[in-house]
Amino acid sequence: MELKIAVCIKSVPDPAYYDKITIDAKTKCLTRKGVPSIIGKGDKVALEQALKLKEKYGGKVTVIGMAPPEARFEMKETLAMGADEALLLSDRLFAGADTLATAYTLAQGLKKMGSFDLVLTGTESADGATAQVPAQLGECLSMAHLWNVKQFSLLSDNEIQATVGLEHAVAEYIVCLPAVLGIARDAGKPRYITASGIKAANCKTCKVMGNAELQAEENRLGETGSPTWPGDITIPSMKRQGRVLEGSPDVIVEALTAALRVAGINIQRKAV
Amino acid sequence: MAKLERGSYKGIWVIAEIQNKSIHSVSLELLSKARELKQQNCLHEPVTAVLLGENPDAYTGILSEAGAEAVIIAQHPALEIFQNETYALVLQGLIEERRPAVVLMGATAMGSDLAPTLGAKLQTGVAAHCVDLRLNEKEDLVAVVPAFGGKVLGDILCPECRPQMATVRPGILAKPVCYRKAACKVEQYNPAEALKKDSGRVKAVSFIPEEMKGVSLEEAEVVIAGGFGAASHEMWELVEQLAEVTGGAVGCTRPPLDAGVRQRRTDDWDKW
Repeated sequence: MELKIAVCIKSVPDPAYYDKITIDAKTKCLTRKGVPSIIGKGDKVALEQALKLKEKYGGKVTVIGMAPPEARFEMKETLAMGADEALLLSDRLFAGADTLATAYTLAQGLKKMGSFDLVLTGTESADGATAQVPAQLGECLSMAHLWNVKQFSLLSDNEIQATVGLEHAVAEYIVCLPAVLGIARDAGKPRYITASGIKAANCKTCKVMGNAELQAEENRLGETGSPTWPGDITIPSMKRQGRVLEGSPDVIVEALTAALRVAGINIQRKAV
Repeated sequence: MAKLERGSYKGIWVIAEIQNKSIHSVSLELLSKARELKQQNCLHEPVTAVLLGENPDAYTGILSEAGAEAVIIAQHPALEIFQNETYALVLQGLIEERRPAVVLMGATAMGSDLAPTLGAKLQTGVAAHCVDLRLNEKEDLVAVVPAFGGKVLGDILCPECRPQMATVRPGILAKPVCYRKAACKVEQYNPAEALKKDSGRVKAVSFIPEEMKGVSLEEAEVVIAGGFGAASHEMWELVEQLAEVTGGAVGCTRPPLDAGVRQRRTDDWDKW
């Protein structure tokens, strides 16, 4: 059997540059100037699962994202990893979307690309990290959905069995396809991009689509279509009192254990 | 997006969660917070806990002590193991009928999946993983959410849709208050009608609790945390050792998790 798999990707500011993010005091907008965008690791884990399924069963992997046109670069990265085609939904009308408007827009994009057996996402984005898009995408597509899927396997042409991570527990589910799966971050390591992968990506297409072509309901897009509205934003003070201990390792260890004892933490010497 | 008459939606609900045969601490924290919000803003409607599952009657006492003035219980064998579809359908039915203004859940594995599913079904807004909640002068919910790994805190409002939904991480709000011998109205709600809408696409097969190793992060007196500087296997080993000798729990920020040196335990996926 051949599988048609879609993977949702979000272009996010590189977490390594978070200290460069500032807030404009007047407009209360985030300034991301000089902060490069990347694909969050969680999304790549989902893409890896899709590529593995394709290798096993055959089929096609389509990557979809909603972002400004600059995100073409990140979409191309997914093609270099092995995805077959990419769709970037890009329009001013999509801007300012909360999770519900985002899920709606992605769902409309996926419908334009055809039908899918599986839609994979990460559990959450690296920036907003609401973890809400997978479930809401499932609802918008009227598909079954699971979140925090640690592993899954195909039982038949139209059923999968999946293990979902809960706190202090895992639950097993049987789900009818088509389905949306939010893949857990620890489900598997994403592959590296190879030189031949980059070469191959040059022959693949990344389509950029605005709403003129998508033709989604405008009142469900972007800021207009978002039930949640952003209010004030603040940068909390995370200052902690630092203390540097100096001297030889023995001296430092003595000082450290003494300081911990004062704080009420008793360190026991481990029997060797 | 359905815009509704705000005035007909009243009161605060907490969707309580049963985990390992007891009520999750975050449900109790939310109930006490809900009572505080009710008192501060002179609301009339009772703070209501909603409990789904099989045989949930035993828990009304503890819910009432934490602040619930009313408890709605939906019992059904189909609700024994959490399934986003069945749980969301039952809650959707209840909420559309009773019209609470605010619906709160713990940002646990269950809540993080259920809240957005329910939000999409109700076409309303959900603020994810909040660290604080308040009501503004219009009695609208203001949910404070972290973004960019906690670098930024933003207010989220949902002024035009009802109910206003939010999830809150465990251990963030104050410990639950104890309301002794408080009157509490307990009501049984028959979910059979709502469950008829279940398409049966998602079927829970089994639920396997995992044995807890070490001290849980919420209950630990000592937490040894590693960040960017500990994102190597050698450094992480030291963090683990220190935790062991201090009898503490281990915590980390994202870099050790992304570097794969910290195996995410099932119980701390939402705490980094």
